[in-house]
Amino acid sequence: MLFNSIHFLIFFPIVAALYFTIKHKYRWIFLLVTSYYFYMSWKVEYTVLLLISTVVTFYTAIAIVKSSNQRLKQFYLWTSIIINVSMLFFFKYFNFVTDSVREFLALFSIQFEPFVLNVLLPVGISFYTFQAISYSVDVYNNKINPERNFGMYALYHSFFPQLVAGPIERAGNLLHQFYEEHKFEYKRVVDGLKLMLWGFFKKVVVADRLAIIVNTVYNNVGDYTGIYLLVGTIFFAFQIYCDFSGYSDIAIGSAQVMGFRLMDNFKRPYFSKSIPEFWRRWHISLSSWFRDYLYIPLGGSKISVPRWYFNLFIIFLVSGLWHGAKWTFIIWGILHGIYMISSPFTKKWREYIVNKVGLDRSTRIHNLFKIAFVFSLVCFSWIFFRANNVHDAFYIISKIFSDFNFEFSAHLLNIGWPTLIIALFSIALLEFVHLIQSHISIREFLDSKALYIRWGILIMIIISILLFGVFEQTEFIYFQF
Amino acid sequence: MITEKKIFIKKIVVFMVILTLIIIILNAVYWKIVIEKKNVYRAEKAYLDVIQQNKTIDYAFFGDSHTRDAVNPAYINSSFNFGTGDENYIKTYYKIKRLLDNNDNNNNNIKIKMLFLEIDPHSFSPVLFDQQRVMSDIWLYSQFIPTNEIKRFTNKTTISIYLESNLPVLGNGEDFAVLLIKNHNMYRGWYNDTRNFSAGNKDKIAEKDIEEHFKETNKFADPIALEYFEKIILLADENKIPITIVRYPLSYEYNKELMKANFSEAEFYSKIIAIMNKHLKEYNKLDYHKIYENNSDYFADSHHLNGAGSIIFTKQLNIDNNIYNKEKAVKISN
Repeated sequence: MLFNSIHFLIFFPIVAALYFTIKHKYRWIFLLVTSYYFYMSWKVEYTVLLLISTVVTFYTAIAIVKSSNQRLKQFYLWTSIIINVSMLFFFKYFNFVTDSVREFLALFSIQFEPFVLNVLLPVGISFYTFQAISYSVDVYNNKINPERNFGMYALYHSFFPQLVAGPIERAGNLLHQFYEEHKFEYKRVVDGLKLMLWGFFKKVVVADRLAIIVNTVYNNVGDYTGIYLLVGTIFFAFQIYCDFSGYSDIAIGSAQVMGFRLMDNFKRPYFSKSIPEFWRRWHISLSSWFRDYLYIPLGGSKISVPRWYFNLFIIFLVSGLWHGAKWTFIIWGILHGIYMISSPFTKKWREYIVNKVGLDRSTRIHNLFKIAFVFSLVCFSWIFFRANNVHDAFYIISKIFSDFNFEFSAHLLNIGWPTLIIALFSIALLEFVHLIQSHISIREFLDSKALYIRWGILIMIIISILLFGVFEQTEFIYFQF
Repeated sequence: MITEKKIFIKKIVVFMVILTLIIIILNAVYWKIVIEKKNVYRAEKAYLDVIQQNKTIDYAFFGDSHTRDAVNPAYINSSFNFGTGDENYIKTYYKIKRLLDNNDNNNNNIKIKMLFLEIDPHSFSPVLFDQQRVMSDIWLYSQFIPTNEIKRFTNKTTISIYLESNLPVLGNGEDFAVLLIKNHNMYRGWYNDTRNFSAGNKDKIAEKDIEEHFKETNKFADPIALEYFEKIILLADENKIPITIVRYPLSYEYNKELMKANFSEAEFYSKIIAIMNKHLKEYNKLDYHKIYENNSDYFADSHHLNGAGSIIFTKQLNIDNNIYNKEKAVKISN
């Protein structure tokens, strides 16, 4: 079930209303059933995978705690990790690996026709696999006690607001909340609904409208000059942000309505002044997952500098691979790895230049320059992320730098000027909201206004969604990961 | 907690009432200034006027924008141009069905003597049967196409079909830009396009048009198009209405690009003629697709006649139709 579907618009109010009428002790059962129903509405068969992952993670965690022998504990931990990762590998990477092997052997004129797995990627598998691994590792490290109630654990594993595209929640934050009684609190419920509304706006008005332009450009790269490809890339930067952060807002908002606090996933990432800052603001639940379960176990920053660089590189390589079984994603990850390494690597040089030139780092212009520079780097990497293949990505880059003029016509994008104007206006509105957010939270901002202003703003947002939303039920980009 | 729930419910109800009222008002405004400006609405209104005023329709022209722009009913007695932009054979089938139902409902002035059916390659293009385009203007077609049929082709739920039918403003806010567009004249469904193809880069325009019509799919005859084309033939035959199939004029550049796109004329039309021959003993064929290849001034773009071109063309079509009718009459009397 997609968040941006009529199905969900009927499902969620019913679930929320029933949730508050059911006695507390039965609520978790109700949420578990509704979460499985939510997941089953995609493909019933894939529930089996979710269930296998749940059973394996739950019982190995208990086995870890029950074992007195350290080796046995390790064995159970690795059993959980290997089974979960194997399922992910099989469905997500099998074809990619066999195809890469075929291409590699072809270089030596060796014919190899691999078996091709003709199955759809189970929705959310990357997310719940990472959530399962974090649970097993946390239990192994004695950070949390294993959950003894299978149903309760199954709910943590499948909680519908964040099941298919995160935020990737830690058991330490979420599991105990299922035991707490969440009473109906007017302010919390209304705040949750407002957040959901903003998420819908980002998804159907901004992301899906930009997608029309981005898809046209990126699916026909040969037809466009540099300016179209540049505009397509910048629009993609906002499309993917609004698509994913919109999803996260709906997920966090819908959980909040029922009294659950999910972690923030985005904090105005395009206002970052450095790449490390960007990664502290973008897909926070994934980057913190990599920090806690890969970066720190690899030694964190308490190792030699070359090793540290190597680890950073590896993390971003894995991050790229996590996003998808394609070389474009791997290159995207490598690029961010290079950015991350370059940041400390070039620090002395940059400081030297700044001091030499006598730049005042505290000025707005300096900050704006840094924001623009980081945004450009991020956009450059998005080219690989969005391109249909590596060849297209390099073609786009070469076109932007070699075939650039300011001749631009909306007609060539198969859209009318209104679509372009709405797209630009919605980006401007989004950034205006972000600007307000950098001074005051939107909730506080709205609360400080009179009722008729608050309602006026909300009605305007709803009307914008209804009038300018794209209602073709396009999937969220991150569902494919 | 109970008080908080009560306050919440009260506020939500008030909020929803205000919101609903605003949506209803916006929808009414949209209907007035957007839908009433649409060609498809204006053609529909012209048709309803004909029905209400008991005017006659002897010759009915069906097809997409090629038909709409080419046939000016002012030059053929008692004719009506039912062609609309992006029209596919599903819509055409149900439009003909509705027309014949009106015929049955004691509307004695609608006795179709000849049904003209477009058979241009574009009408069969899978592009017209794409899920997003197959049922545009649901607010109109839901009035006479069964919901199940709309669901079959669009994959939409009953709720969304209902919403699109009754609240067409939803998701179409950008249509308000129509306020900035000047409307062209229409007469009995005919659309007076004033553009001149000669003024632009003809090759480039034709290339783009062909790309839009066929490139994405590389297929020329959609199975659904053939299915509904056959249903139309059967429907006309059941009602004993003679058929003329028409290929409308296309520019030289368009025909050239079509060939470049690997369009096999023989293969394509053999399928259509096979359907015709399977069900009908007799029908008329009018092929004008090359008639104005040297007259690009007659075209608005590479595949639509403009106002001036359509007058010249309609006169020609009227002559050809009269010749056919006379020959047929002679045959019957013999």
